[in-house]
This record gives sequence, structure tokens and C-alpha cells, in this order.
Amino acid sequence: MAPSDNTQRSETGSQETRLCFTLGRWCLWQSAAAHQRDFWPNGEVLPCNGGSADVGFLPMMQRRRLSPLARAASAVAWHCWQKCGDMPAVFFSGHGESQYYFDMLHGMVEREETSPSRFSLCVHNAIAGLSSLHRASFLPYVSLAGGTEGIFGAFLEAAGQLLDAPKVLVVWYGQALPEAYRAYLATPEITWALAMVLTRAGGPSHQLRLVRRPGNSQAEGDEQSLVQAILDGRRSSLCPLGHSLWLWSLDDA
Amino acid sequence: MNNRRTMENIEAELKQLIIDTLELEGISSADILSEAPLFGEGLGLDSIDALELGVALKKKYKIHIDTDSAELVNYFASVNNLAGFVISQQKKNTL
Repeated sequence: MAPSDNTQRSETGSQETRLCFTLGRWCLWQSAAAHQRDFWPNGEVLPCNGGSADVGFLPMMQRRRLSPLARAASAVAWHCWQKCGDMPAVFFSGHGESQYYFDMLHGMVEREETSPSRFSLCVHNAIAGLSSLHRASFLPYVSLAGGTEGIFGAFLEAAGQLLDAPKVLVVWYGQALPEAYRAYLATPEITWALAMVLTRAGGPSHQLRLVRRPGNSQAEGDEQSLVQAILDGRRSSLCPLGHSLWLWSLDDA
Repeated sequence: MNNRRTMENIEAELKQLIIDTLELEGISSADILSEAPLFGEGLGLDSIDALELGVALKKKYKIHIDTDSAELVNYFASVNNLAGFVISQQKKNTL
């Protein structure tokens, strides 16, 4: 069965996009300890580890350059790969290494020399590239940023990749924006990363269903509420994103 | 004798600079041999490390590094070579 059921017209005549995946495995890390106990099935929350994700599985020469955000993303991706084997990946982050590039811009204003390693790690696909190196993988990965569909854009990409590959890893990560941007954009207060192993719909595990409807909402939904839902064990919700409304649910197999 | 002491001092400074700049967690100055290769085999540094080290050297010693120089690879081959390069550039600055 295809990962995406299809695009069709609803009863009201508006165009809907429906996606359905089998959720094989998930792994979450966040810089604040999670006290909830009713997590979603088939996954784990990694220890907070004092606010810095544990990447002790990597040799020192590989882990030394990882930023707090890169440590978080690498840790959750690594745990899913360990459990489920190598697979293509979709990395998604709204703003990536925002603190690094803000510091770099600030340094340029001050006429300081730019750190070559910081510069190279600011590139949006750097974290995905490092993760690929960590597992010595030759499988493809993409790295997506922002966009009007938020994290749901990564699910669209995953649905496309599943037409070719039997399973895909989605890695979603973020951190608080630098102070200077906070007046313009909502930002999480913590650093966090979530990895999900997705296979095609109809597999022998829980089904993650997503429906996109055109929307015209002034209210910007909090897409990060999906992360909170995983911790709370909540199985369905909706997220208005300006020009679209996303409904999602996790159903038993 | 003074020259030898200067060389040893610069080597010790460079070892600590390498550890701090390149975030070599768990490595001490004693682990870096002055004559051992810094890149590839030996300490195992890479091309990004070379660039990072270049920026740190310019900042600490206020020296000029000619990136077109054919000798550059040799200057960065070991702590020993790097110390000789720093001293020679510092002498140029005082002329």
C-alpha cells in the first residue's frame, strides 16, 4: 500500500491530502526532564543527561564538534538506527543552528575572524551529514528547513521517499532562538530532537495518519504540541498553520 | 640556549592551543609529541582543523599566514614545525 492514500476532494469541495504511515519506532530527547509516563508505544525518551544529550557512542574525534542541537539530533537518530538498521533519512529543523549563525553574524559586525568549523556546521544539512558519517552510511538523506507546512513538510517528503524505500527515518529537532529574534517569532524554550522510523501504511504496528486541509487561520498552531502529545500519550490533535490545517492521529494496527 | 627555551615554550603553548581550539576532550599536552604528525595519522586532525588552527594562530601570535605558500603543508605537519614557523613569522614582525 502506498504511504500516501492520495489527494482527494472532501465533501465541501476543498482539496485534502491524506498520508498514512506505520510508525515502527520513535526516540525523543529534550533538555528538560520529562515526567510523563504515558508515552506513545514503541519508543523511548532518552535521559536528559544534565541538558546535553549523551553521544558517548561516538569516538571523541567525531563528537567534539557537535553543538547541543547536533548532539540531540545525532542521539535520537543513532538510537533508531541501532534498533531498526540503516535507512534513508529526512532531517527537519525550522531554524537549525540559529545560535551559531547569529554569533557568526555578530562576529562579522565586530570584524572578528569567522571560525571555519562553526561556519561549516551552520550549513543546514551539516547535522544530517554528520549523522550519515557517524553510521558510515551511503544511503540518501535530505535536510529541510522552515516552510509553510512546518514539520508536516517532512512527512510529505517521507511519503515520497517511501515510494522507493521500505522505511525512512524522520528526524525533527529545534532549540530556542537567539534573543534578538524572539520578538518576531514564537520559539521553544528547550532544545529537543525526535526521530521516527516510518514504513508504508498497513504494517503490523501503529498507524500514523495525517490529513492536510486548506486553511485560512489567523491562529498559528504550535506544531511542537506533537512532541508533547507523544509524552502525554495523546493520540490525536490538529494544528492550524495559516494556509493549512493538519489533523493527525495515531491508531492501533 | 635562549632559542631552545623559546622553542620549547612555543611548543608547549601550541599543544595547549591545539587542545583548546580543536576541543580535544580527554587529551593532554603530554599526549601530543612535538615530532608526531598532526594530520591524518598521528593526532588525526582534518582540513577543517587546519583552518581553525590557522585562525587561532593569527589571533594569538598576530602572524601572517600565506595560504598560497607551497611550504604551508610542511609548516603544519607537526608541533615542532609549527613552532619554527611561528618563531620565524614573529621575527619578521619585529623587523
